[in-house]
Amino acid sequence: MKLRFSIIGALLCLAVATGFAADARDEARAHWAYQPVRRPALPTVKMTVWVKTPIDAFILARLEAKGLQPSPPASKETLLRRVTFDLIGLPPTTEELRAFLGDTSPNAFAKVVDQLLASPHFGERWGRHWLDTARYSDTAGRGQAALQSYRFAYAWGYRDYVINAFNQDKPYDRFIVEQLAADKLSLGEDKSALAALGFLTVGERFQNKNDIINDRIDTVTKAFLGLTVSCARCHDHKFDPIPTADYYSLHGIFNSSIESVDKPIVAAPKDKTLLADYAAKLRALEEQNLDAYYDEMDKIDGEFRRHAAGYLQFDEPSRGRQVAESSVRMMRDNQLGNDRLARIALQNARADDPVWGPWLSFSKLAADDFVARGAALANEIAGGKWNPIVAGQFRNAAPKSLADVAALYGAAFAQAEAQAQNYLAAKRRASTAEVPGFDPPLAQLIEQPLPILPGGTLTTERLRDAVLQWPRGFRSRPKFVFDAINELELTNPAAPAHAMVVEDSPNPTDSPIFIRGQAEVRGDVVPRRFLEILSGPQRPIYTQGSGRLELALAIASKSNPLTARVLVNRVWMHLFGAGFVTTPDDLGVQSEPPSHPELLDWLAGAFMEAGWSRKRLIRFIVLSNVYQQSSEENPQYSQIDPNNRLLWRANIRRLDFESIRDSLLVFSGKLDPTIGGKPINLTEEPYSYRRSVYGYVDRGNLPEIMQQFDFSDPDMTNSKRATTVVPQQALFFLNSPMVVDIARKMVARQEFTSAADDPSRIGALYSIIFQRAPRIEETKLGLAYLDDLKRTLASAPATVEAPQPRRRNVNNNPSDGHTAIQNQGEKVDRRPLTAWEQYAQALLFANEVIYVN
Amino acid sequence: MNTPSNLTRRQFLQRAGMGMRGLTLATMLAEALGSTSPAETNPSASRPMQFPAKAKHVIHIFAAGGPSQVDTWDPKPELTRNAEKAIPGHDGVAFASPFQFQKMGRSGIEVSEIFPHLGQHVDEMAVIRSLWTEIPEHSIASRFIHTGSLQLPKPSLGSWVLYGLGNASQNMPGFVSLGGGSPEWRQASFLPGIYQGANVNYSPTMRLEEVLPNIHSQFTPLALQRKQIDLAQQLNAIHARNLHQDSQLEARIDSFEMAFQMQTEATDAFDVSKETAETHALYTSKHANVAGVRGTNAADPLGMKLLVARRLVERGVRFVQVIHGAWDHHKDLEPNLRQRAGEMDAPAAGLLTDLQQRGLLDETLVIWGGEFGRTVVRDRNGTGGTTAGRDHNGHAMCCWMAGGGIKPGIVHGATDEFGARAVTDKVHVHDLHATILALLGFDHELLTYRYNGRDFRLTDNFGNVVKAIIA
Repeated sequence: MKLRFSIIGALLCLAVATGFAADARDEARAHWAYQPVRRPALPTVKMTVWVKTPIDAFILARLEAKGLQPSPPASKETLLRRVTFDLIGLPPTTEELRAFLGDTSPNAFAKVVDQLLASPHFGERWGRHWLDTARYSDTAGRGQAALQSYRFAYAWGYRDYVINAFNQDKPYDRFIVEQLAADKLSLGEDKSALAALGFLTVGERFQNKNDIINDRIDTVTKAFLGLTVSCARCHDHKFDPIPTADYYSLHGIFNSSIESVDKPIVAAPKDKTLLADYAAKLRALEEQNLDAYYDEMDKIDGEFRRHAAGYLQFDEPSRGRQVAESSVRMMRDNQLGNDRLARIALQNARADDPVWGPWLSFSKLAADDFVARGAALANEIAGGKWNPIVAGQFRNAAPKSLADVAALYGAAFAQAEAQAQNYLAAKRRASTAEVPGFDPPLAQLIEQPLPILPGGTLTTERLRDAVLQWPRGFRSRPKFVFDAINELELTNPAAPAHAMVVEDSPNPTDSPIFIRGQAEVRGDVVPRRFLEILSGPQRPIYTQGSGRLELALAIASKSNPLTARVLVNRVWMHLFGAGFVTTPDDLGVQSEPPSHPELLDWLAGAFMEAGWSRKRLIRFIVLSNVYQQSSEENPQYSQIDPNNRLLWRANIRRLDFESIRDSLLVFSGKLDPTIGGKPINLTEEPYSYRRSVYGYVDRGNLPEIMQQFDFSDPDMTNSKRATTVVPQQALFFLNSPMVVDIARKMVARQEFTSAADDPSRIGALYSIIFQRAPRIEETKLGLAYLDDLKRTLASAPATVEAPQPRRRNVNNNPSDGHTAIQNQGEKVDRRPLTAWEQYAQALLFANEVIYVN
Repeated sequence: MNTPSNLTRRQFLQRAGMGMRGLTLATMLAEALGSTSPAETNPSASRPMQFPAKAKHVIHIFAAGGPSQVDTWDPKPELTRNAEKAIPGHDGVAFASPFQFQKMGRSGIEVSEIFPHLGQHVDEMAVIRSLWTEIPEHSIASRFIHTGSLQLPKPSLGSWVLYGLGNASQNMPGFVSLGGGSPEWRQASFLPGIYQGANVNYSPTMRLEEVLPNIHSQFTPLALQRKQIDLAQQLNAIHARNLHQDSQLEARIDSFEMAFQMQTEATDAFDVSKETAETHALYTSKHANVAGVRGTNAADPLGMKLLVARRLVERGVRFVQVIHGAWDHHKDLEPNLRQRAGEMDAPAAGLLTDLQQRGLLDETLVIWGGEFGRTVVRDRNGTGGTTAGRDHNGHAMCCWMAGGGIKPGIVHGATDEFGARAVTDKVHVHDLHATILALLGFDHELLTYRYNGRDFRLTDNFGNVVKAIIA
């Protein structure tokens, strides 16, 4: 569980209150990343024979300057494994390896690369990279407002949009614009691109609107620009030339963009039976919500109606006066545990309120003025333009105290009692505020202290809004089923995908600077526009609605010095293990200088010229000699360049969480290659065989196994995965039912069962896991192990204490994200493993399984 | 089958008379530090202490949310005298502490009424009243107190301590967080992953085999699992032969050995049922029930975490992080702070008593504190409560330390007359970190790690050791 704090005020600022000295600011403005992208000339190198692509020339030039030489090419086996994991996140199949080894044509590798780029698994792999950047989660976090569901029912639609965008090789500039402003594009018939707006809306939800806006500013600027603009929320950025005014220029844009109540359907299942089933379930839940609403209205308003005289004595102005014993007794029996009903009714009542005006007049009377003026005031009221039922009580009345006035009100409300039930039922059926057939003054009394909304207008979202208007303390009582509706939407196979869209607010407005980030201390109002450092002195002011589309176009512009560099740097990082700049989400002044600035610029320029195609960029990089080097160590070179920043070899890289789990699924032979759809449970039995990218991401309670394998923190943009080595990862391989399940399934595969003898069986497992034949000594080790184990098992059969399935990871939050997501299938067989199963599992422990050379 | 030519790495190292973790870590450190021979670094995997010191373990009780200094360890009569009056330079009216303070112990340190048990231990404590931090926002200030960094991901305090001291346990991670904190607070960042804090979402009601995921073998007896690991390590040796040495691969080999041991040792460490009723009583708070956790006092979550912390320290764990949340009292400070303090008071006092009785207090540094302090005026934004609260304040906060070579029974530093701002003998968070490292025998300027061409340290380019609180 992660700690969540309420962020009070707007204090999320990263810079301390030191002004920028003028020369420091000039220095910051001169920072390389703010300069236009220029395509440098290719460097001259000595070892020209090694240069296959311009990339090779740039890398080689730096190596030669240090007296280093590139490493020899990796073996074909190593290369295929490397590129397959890098491009689709899965190991190659034995058949793919055989084909590649057998293809001696000069473009054999290029053919492999093209096949991988065309595979639908490419989008799953690279989409997941982008989801790290987009801080993707299926839940809203712990800080969300009351009555908002903890889970996002439709976040997965954004995830699928991202995967499809990669598979279609959607140009990156278009990808940017859709994620920021798809609602403002003319999309034609196919509205599926609206799901792109999930980029803005799948962030963490906070109670404070400004914190949500901050999340969006932070994500947009880190993801697309590699800038930490959110640091300028309270003070000018401490390091980069980003004044607070610029932050609030963006604030105005996102403050003028609101989430639409109606979320458009972007994909719906076709099966009519399933759809009917889903619709019936939804309707039943909606009815439950309405039942809860009208029951509660009956309770609150009915309680007040029946005891109005008593509640009025607890009214604010009557404080300090003697409260009648009957009122105190009534309070003791109060069903609602709340003495504020009258106060709720009166808090917004004005002096001319038809029901409460008379009460307000009387409550101004001092206690000892009642005798002298009470009767006269009552008489005045009886002839006034008040609610006639109330006014009628005052005819010929002579109240001697406020308690007497309360009693008169009590009598008025008693007259409404007889019609109240009929009225409620009619209101539920009505679509308008006024219900035909009921006397308006009567309705006026029945709708006290809380007004009652007509059922015909109460969609789930409007009901939620209405309940949010209730005073504190009331909202949690009724049994609303908002969470059940959310769960149905998230899990029912026929529930359609909706786009989590934003739209421009009807009246887009500029934001004032919040001094020191405090929303209540307002400085100058700043126009909605782009960052000064990236737009120059002729900075246009945005005029089209919120300005989101204009912002998107300014980001996705060839003249923007950061957009392409940031993207190229990330792609390089994913292919080599480290970017030119080691902080992929911050290319600002605080970042380390790029290892190869000329190459970064050359690639950024080429990327834009080639139509912002990410597939072409990736293809270009992996076809270089640099990418295809061996990872072999060179102790002498390690002294000179211990971190291999110059790329004199390939890096040895640990697979990320998804590739580790997905590899296991491939080994089992059970991988379900379905693309897209509602999220699955990644960590609990019965296990799913879908790829990891489809796992449910709960930012408030990320499963430990995901944390331990360095899954990206979904709270904010975080494009770079850590690769820690901790014993908990080993425990996963040793003891988790998931790994045991894989071991069992591997020895049940046809390749294994059809093998003629033990060496062939070992060979089959090596082919499945390592896509290669075992070395002679590996076969020997395996045979010796099995021989020893079989003898041990024969003399003392393996017994372990009766295993119990791991208890659910119970979350105290009633809207626990995980309980909703359950896979179909069987739990893992708890019987002890056979000798071959133990052997197969032991092979999975090997380093070779989770490292790429 | 063990011929000299195919000994497993583990067997080889055992025969060579060396714990295997030792050599690997030494190798890694040698690589990391750029030294040419592993022998240059201590095979016990610790960095040599730079001067003699007492503390060998740290238990950090983190009061997350920002506990109020003037209601806990920094009494301010002047604030009470000015109650409900506007204080110049402050945004709002003075909020006098609703709690009484009383001189306790021989030292006569004034202690808030909400700490009756800890008050019995003031003579073992150094109370710092002049601590201050940079930015009073939870996530930033928490990152700062745990990593010394406001913005960039940097190694956590516990990771630095483990890097410095090395792991004294063969079977347990050297840095354990008992759950509830942000991963940032236990991250190794650019230090080798082995220094990362292991997160154990400990709760006293959970089954022991669930303390850590997959800690329990359901399918294969340990003796047979041992054979599996031996086989895998032999395969790893073959694999490594083709790649030469790689610290990640070495570390992963280690991790399997450690995981194997952990299966028995770790569950034992978390098994508080092995403690006597007297010990349980020491760690029990009568406030625990109200804290929202089902069950009896014995299920006191904080108390049992502190008891586990002691068991971990006994087993050689270097750094235990215990998170105690919800000290963020913007409103209704009086009942909520009383509750929070009540949950912590008796168990923390019990921890000190227990450590003392077992002779562990001298070598264990116990730290209590939050990420920032609070305002001395009412929080204007603290709406919705029935009584007042306080807003965030980075200019003044307090903490206490005990054991581990601390000068006992002293108060260090002072705030202004109202308690709003540290003024005398100010202690910055970097200074606190420098002092903690000094108590462990490290010069914070010399405990460095070279990464991407730069020597990094916990205290960045700052920090002064507060010598006055070291015995």
